[in-house]
Amino acid sequence: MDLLLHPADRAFRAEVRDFIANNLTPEMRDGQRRIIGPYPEPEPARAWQQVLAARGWAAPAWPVAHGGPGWTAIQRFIFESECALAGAPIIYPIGIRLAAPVIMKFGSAEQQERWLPRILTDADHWCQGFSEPGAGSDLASLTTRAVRDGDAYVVDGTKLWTTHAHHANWMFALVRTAQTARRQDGISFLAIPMSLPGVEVRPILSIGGDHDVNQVFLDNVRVPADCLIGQEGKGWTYAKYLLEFERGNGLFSGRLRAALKRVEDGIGVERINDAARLMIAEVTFEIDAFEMLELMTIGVLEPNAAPGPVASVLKLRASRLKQRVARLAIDLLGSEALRRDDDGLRGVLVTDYLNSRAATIFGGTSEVQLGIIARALAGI
Amino acid sequence: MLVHAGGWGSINVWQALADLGCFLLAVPESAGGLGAGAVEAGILARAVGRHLLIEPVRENVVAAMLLAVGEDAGDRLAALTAGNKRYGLAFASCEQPMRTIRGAWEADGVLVAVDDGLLLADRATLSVRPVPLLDDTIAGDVEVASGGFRQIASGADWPALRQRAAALLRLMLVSETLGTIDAALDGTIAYVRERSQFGGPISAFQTVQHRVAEMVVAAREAEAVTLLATLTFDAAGPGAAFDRAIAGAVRRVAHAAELVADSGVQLHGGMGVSDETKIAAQFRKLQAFRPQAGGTDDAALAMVSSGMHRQSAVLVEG
Repeated sequence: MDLLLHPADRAFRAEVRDFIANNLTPEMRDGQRRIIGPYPEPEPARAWQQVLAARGWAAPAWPVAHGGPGWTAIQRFIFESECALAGAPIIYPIGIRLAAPVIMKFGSAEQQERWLPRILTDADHWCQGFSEPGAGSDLASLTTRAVRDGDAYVVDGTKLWTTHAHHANWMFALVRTAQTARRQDGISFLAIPMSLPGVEVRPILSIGGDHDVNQVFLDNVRVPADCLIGQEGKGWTYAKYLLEFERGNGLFSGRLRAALKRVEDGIGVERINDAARLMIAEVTFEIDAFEMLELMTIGVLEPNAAPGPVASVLKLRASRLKQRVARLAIDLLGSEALRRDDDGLRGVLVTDYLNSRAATIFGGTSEVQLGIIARALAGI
Repeated sequence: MLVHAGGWGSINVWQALADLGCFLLAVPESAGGLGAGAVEAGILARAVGRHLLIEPVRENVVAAMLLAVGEDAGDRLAALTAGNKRYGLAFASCEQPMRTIRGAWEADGVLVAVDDGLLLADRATLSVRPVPLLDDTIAGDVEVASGGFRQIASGADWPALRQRAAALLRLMLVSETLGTIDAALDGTIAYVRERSQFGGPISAFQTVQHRVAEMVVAAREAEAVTLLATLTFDAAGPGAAFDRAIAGAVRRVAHAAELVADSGVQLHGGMGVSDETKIAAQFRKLQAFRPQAGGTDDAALAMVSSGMHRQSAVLVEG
């Protein structure tokens, strides 16, 4: 591995920088700056995604056949890093990074034709229906049922912690289509239009006081049978495949660095003394290490390939680092951190600090990741 | 068994390393060496750390690099790289009559790389008292007879070479520590799988599994930062990017060393605090990293003050 950027990569970076300078608006940047959860609000993130889609850059990890740019791993890395450091909105990942790989690998040609182009432009906004009131870390105990009735599945149950369900027009859900000896074997992967009768979305306010997640009630919802992805009973396999993308394929190091910059901007230059600089440096060294770990992981991946169990190492480190950056703001703000009446960047930092606790819970808790690491990487 | 009885090391190990060409690694090809980079030196150092060698390997890899520019370079270099002569090595700003020098015990001479040149004192001019160190190696408290130091290298190129040599020595210490981290992790995994309590291996307990998993994560991170600093050195040489990378590597490897050492001993139970197991020697070696690795605060402050920390650490421009 040669760390020096080759002339071609340097030219690529210049091209990306030019594109960002010409297309990223102050409104888009402000939308990302005010982010207080994992994802920005659909507007103006969608506007940025559509600008990227028009250029063919909205889905860096997709294969060319489906509209990806055909970049090398290092180009992807450069692109994500440049977008993050420029303050561009995070591209909403539930469709592009989670649903799409499953649709590409296990969906029919018709489904790919129907969904992928609309995911690319965020014309369809997807949410993820995995967790339930009785099925969190023990996801295989899920009870939402889907019963085949003619040309439809009739779905009954409840999904919980559904991020952006109130913005989404599609949900991909794990549903139980059979009672089997091994619980995992009765699970299927179903796409559900959120507009169908019987779908009800109720907001849940987060620990920071804002609305990001929901409870989704599915009451006798008739979902067309052609919305089943892959085979009945294979949903667990598809979900595990998807989770490797959720956990390990995001390239978050640039985002963490941008979050650290936001902390510095938010606390104000008057608080930056040598003690603060050393604290900032300590977090920076952790981000640097994580950046290298990411590069070592994706550097060996083909486009759209799943990273394997090392994804759990990345998920664990990224989530803890997100909390570390968020807590740094509180440590440096001192008693100012008590105030919740600031509607500027300081208020954002306090709310983000509260909401960052979710990072070590969603996408598989830290404890789940440690279990996977012990099994798959330590062999115990 | 594992705490060394007081010798500098094994002549057989030393000769085997020399026969492999280890001491030629950092010598330029023009001087008959292998002209290898930090990557290759790091591979050697990682193996040294994994197998807990007590011989002064990294000091002599770097000593050869320095001797290559000195007077009578051919003879001295040939003797060192063949395994016939061995040196203690220190970096200092100027000559001092006495100091503790790694590799000096039972050595054929000591080298001190000072600001304006390379000083050599032969064995005949030295008075050396052995100093056992925390990592089971033996250093020497060295007194040099008046006039014993001779300057054998200097010149306009010296400061840059000295800087490269000091950086390589520090990088090799980091890689060596990574090797010990690897070995401590592997040994601990093997131990928790075979140690039986409550009717089964202790690896069946989630609290043990999670502790091991934290060790895995720390070790992976340590490998990443070591590789980053090593590649940055080979790509860009000493400079701001390397200062940042080596400071980060020192801090994160220190973190991993502490976590792996603590958990490794803890999971070995009573065996971990006896000298019967490798983990005890690995623990001592890992404790010795931080005090040897040098400070990082100046580099940390420089990085943040310049705003460099806002840029990628990996996408280094040459």
